[in-house]
Amino acid sequence: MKDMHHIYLTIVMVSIIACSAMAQTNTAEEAISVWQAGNIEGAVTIIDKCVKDPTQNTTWEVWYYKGFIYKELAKKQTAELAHNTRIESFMAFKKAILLDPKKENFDQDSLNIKALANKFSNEAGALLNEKTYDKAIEYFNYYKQCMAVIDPNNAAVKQKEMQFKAALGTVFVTIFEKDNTREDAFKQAIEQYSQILKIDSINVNANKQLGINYYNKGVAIVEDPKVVEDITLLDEAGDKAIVQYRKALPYLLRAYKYGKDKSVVEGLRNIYHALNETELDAKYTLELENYK
Amino acid sequence: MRKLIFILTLISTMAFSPSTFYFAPPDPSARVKAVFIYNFSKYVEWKEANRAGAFTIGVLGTSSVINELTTITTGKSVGSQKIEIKAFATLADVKKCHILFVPADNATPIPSIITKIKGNNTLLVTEKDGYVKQGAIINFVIQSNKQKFELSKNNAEKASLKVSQSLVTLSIPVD
Repeated sequence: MKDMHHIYLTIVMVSIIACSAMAQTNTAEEAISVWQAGNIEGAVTIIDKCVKDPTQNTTWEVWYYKGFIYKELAKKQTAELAHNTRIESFMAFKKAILLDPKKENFDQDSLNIKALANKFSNEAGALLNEKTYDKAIEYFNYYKQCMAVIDPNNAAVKQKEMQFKAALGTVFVTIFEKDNTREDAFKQAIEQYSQILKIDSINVNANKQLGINYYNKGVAIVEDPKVVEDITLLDEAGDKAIVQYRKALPYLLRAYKYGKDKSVVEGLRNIYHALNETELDAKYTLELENYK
Repeated sequence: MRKLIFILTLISTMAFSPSTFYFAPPDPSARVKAVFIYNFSKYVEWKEANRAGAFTIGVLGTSSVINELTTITTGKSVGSQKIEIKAFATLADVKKCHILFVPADNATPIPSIITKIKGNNTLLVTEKDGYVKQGAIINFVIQSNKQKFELSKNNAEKASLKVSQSLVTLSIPVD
């Protein structure tokens, strides 16, 4: 009887050890099974344990599954929570790539990261407004980070970055137009368009927008109600306005050279008119007739 | 396990759409002239008889200054006189006004204008070289790309107008 008891205990112990060993090697797969069963929170709990386990966290698979499960978790969360979850997902996929020098799973990592990148980019677009532009900038930076990992020389990213900066520039212009004491917003708008020119110096839209913004700033100086009521301020205001008109000129001339349209010709006419340069004013006034 | 790897969500990419901004109304020079003309009313004294009723600023011919003047003087007065902006198509249409502005592209000879407004106590403002010598009181000129104005105290006196020293200081005196 005593022997039987001993044998029984031994069998139980061996079973426990065997199960424990199996559980250790299979937890990443378990996490996926739990997710497949519809229990995303359970899957997260398991995969979080896996990535902390030194016997597992040196393989790309574990990190890939973490990225995948977190990507799925984000779909079920509120926008605010989902953002951080997607960041964690991205970091996991990034780690998976690092642990996969033979690039066995690079295509799948890339596809998942691309999906996250698109999500970050779409969210950045949705947040591009006067109140949440700072979050838009943050989200767009994650888009860039994602793309830098999977395709660092992708020309489409530069294109998208220019589009984003142009849209962000218009947000800052809107802020400044609503409150012309917001000099910071004006400077930010100029900064965005200038950064586009660092990527593509002959970008017609950025050149045009810089010209428009400097010109409009000059006009705003002259139109200041304080100036209207006090003739003694007009001279100084005129000087300040001329500085802005002159800043606008090179950008509009470049836009004229590389992609003139009616608004560019109109801008040049306005600037030369404002600068009282009658011959050039007449030249562009005449050219403007062609657009009628 | 591998098949799970291929489960992906396809997300379409949204394009960023910047708004387009346009140039502010095209004529800041007209605004500057309008601001000058409006402010002249604060530095010039008209005869007692002309300090009642509306304060009239007339413009001979067409000019973007008319719109700018209308914009900046809406709801404003000179003393107790409400400002009115009037556009006169031709010299024949010109009625008595406190200030008459003649734009550069108006071809009406200056002596005819002076004859027309003689005795009306009108501040004649022009913008052509040499017009002050022909009888205008104030004439807009460009110096270093900037709008300035010449002022003839003698011509002002002939029109029975008193010009303040502050305005003389801001001007390019011609006599």
